[in-house]
Amino acid sequence: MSGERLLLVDDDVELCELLADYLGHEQFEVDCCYSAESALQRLRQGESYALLILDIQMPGASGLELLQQLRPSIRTPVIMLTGRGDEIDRILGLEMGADDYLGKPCNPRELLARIRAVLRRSGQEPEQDSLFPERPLEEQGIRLDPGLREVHIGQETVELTSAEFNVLAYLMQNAGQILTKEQLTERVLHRKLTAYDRALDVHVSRVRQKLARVLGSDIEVIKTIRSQGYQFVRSRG
Amino acid sequence: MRWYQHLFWKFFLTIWLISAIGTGLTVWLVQSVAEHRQSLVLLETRARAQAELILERYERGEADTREALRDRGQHREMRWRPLPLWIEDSASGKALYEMPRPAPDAKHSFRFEVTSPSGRRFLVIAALPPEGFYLEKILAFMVSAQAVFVLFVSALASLLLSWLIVRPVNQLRRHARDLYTQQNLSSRAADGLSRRSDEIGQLAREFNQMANYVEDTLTAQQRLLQDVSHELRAPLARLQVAAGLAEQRLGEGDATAARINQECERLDGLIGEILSLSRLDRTDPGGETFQLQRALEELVADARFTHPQRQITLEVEPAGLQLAVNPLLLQRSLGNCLSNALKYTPVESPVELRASRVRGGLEIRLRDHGPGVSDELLQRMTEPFVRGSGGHGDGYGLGLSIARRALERLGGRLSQRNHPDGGLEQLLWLPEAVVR
Repeated sequence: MSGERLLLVDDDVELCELLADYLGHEQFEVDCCYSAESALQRLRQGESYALLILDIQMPGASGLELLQQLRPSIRTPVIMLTGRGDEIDRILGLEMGADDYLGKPCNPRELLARIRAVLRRSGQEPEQDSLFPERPLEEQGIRLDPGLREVHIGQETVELTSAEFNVLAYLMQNAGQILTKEQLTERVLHRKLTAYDRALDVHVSRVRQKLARVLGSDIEVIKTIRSQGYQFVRSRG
Repeated sequence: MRWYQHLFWKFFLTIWLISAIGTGLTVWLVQSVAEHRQSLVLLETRARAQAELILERYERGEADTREALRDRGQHREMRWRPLPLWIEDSASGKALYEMPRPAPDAKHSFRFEVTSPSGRRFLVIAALPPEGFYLEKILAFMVSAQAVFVLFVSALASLLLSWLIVRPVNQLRRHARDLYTQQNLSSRAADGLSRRSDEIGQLAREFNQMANYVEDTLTAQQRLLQDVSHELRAPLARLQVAAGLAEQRLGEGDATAARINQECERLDGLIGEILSLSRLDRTDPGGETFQLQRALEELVADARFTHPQRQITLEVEPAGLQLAVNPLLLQRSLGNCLSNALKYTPVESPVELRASRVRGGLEIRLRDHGPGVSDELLQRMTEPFVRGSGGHGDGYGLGLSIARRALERLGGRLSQRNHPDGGLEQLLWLPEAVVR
């Protein structure tokens, strides 16, 4: 994974330099933008990055607004940096298609771990991971193609972020089984579940919403098993 | 407060009593003086007529006057019972007409002179009737129409007067209470009160000045705390990355770098708590309807995750209870209470969480089986930076303040008490309005 290009968007210039230095030691190539506008410009010019690190609180357009403009056309994975205690920002960010979040200020080692986890699961690092099935899966009329990273229901395509895709893929591959939150977080988000961690729940609820838009809200394909985890309901017959 | 301790009733009773006694006494005195005078006039007229009759007969030389008078049948001129009279000849002082008793002294009689038909002058002494029994008179007065009227009117007057005094005081008291119980810093005395020109108006204006001062001070303090915390974050973020860089150079696991990281995290935790405390006031308390059971289960699951060895029970009655508030505020509040309970109690002791409908709202009881807290701490434990002893020493004393503020933001209330069977019981109450 060395040599990956990352884009860091934060209005704190000195912090950006320090982080670029730190991540540079870990073999990442880091570009910095000090506002959402300049980041958007750079991305629109066709610069491609393996990952965006986005500060939510910035003067001018916030990180959330930037995220809103990026999705769904630009699918680059995003890690948000949120103020501590800003649960609402976190959930909003995840719902808007961020892949993970981290409270700021944070331990850079933690940030590094998250970057690696997100990169690993976004498929940049090709399969040392048995998470993904080789062949397309079909359950409940939902067709999931791991090669194309696409999900179809009938003729319709369901747009999912990479985290949402991975959640659905893992659940479908294990249809009929109950998967705990710990399992899902570890296998899908590539990190340990922590207390008050709502990332997985938000991803699952986003997948449900997006599926319900096509399937109708009365069909529940992903069940919440109280105090255990989630389960993809297997097709009958 | 009992009813008689209310200012209103104190005023009412005092004014009523004094005005009723005062008015009643005056009316009674005026009335009895008038009656007395009237009876004297009547008495004198009668005595004079009687004396003149006697003298007339005496001078005509009719039989013994005493006998004549006793024989009432023959003297139709007198229509009343004869009065006891003593008549003397003014010139000689010789008694003309006598009762068996001696004439009463001046105090118990009245005297006047009468001229007889022949032109001689006689002194007449008439006894005053004995004084009536006073108590009897007073009792008679008390059941009279006048007394009832006096009581009624003075009751009306004192009601009006005490209402006029007590009402503005109560209004002012409500504003003062709003200021500290509702945390409504913008509570001020109404215009009607502060425009008055009397002492109550002055009090209202002074109250408003004081409230302004309190609001300014508290707002400034909050803003300062928030600004400082916010400004501290940026250098702290840089410090952490710089520490990370140092760690890269010194190699992972370096004790000094680890220590710097640890202290950074502590600082970060503290700043985060202060910020979230001040942020609560700007969080929207409203929200969509959600299942209380599910929200509490999530919370308990988190607590079990961080404290896998603890026994935490959850009970929601009735199970389908729904709330319409911002669930994050509720989870924040209850989560802080729960982690407080877990932190200050022995690992082997259970923690019980029970939510139930009560009259007027919803109550969540969180009971632990720890040592409880001292009375002094019980009063102050939800104030910022107040910490109990016996925790692990890594808290900032803000958890319960945040819990209280978050709950108050939802219109609820947080209280703590030592359970009679030991352990601390935390009560989270939410008003009826948010229960669906």
